[in-house]
Amino acid sequence: MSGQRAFNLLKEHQQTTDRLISNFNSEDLRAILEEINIAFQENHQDALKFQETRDKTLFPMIGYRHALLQRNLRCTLAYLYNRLMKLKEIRWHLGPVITPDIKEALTEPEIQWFNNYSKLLTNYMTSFPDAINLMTDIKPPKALFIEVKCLIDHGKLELENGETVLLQRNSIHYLPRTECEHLIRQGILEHISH
Amino acid sequence: MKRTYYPNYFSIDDIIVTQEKIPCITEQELSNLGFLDQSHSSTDLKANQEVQLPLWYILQVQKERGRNQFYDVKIPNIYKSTYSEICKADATAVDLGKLNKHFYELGRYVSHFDRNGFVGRMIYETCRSRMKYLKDLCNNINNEQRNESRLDHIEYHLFLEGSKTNKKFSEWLQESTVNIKTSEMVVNHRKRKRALMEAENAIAGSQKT
Repeated sequence: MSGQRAFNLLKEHQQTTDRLISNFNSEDLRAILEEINIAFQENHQDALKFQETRDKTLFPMIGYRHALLQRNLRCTLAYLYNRLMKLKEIRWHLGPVITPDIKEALTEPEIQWFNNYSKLLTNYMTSFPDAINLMTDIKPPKALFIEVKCLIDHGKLELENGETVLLQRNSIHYLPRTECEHLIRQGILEHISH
Repeated sequence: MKRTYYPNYFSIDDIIVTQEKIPCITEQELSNLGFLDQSHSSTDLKANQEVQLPLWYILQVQKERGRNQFYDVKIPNIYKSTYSEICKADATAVDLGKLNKHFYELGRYVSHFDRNGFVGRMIYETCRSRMKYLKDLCNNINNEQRNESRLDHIEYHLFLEGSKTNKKFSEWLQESTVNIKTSEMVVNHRKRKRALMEAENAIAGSQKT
């Protein structure tokens, strides 16, 4: 009856630094919902009792339970909301595909939310005549072609002009910036500067 | 995520601040709330009893009853005159982070309960005199020293942001080429993956032998 559990849940989310997103804690969440329900039931009973007896000593306790209920609600909603914001960030940094290790930390509705968000973003970007890709040109471009070094074996990359490049580990390529920027952001290529 | 100064409903920072406990004195007998004071085992809170209450509860009571008839809220020690004397003498010498991680934010809430307007003035003055010191810290890019315990939460984030901006500025002055970088999130993600793989390999290796 102290709201500590809900607070800990939120702390757990915030203090996760060794991974992108913490596992969805459905066990604690359910316990907190139960706590909210109990507080509501008890308040309801006390309110009925007050109507009969007009006993003012019930007030402080009703007040406390109500505050507790609001607090638990706030912590829980903040937990869910901040997880979604994290997912949003992941969409912008890692692209539209969730890797399995992130996926196992999520619940089904969260995955759905991610896919919907992803779809909205793609629709928005393709709604322009030239289909702007907002993920590119995060820094002002200076040259059309850049030199990149491949950090891991990635396989073949087909360029827009039909050429294919084999991205092998430690190989160096001279590629159009627009076509390899997203690979650099994903950590597959490294931009070499002189 | 963008931090806004005015706390919104979902703000984790604000929730953490409102979890803080504030000393209060009960103004009347409150039945059944004895569990709030863990040092006594009675079921009721008596009048004039001192009890530590979480800020979120006090704020809710305040909101509902207009004037709070249940509790008289006291000012926490760190906002009292002894500390304010130190802050007045040399605010930069105080390790704010050690007093309270959310010194300013908590102070903002506490100042509502302070009828003399003393706390408000104190946090304003403290912040004002520490700003220049914070700016100096940011200018020192090579400063690897961890300042976390010295700074308040807000100050710490200002410091991070400030030193990042300074670094970018000096890069721009040197006209270093614009490099596309792997996003920070991916780097962290990959680090974790590698650690996981290494651990798995170690286990597999030990099983073989």
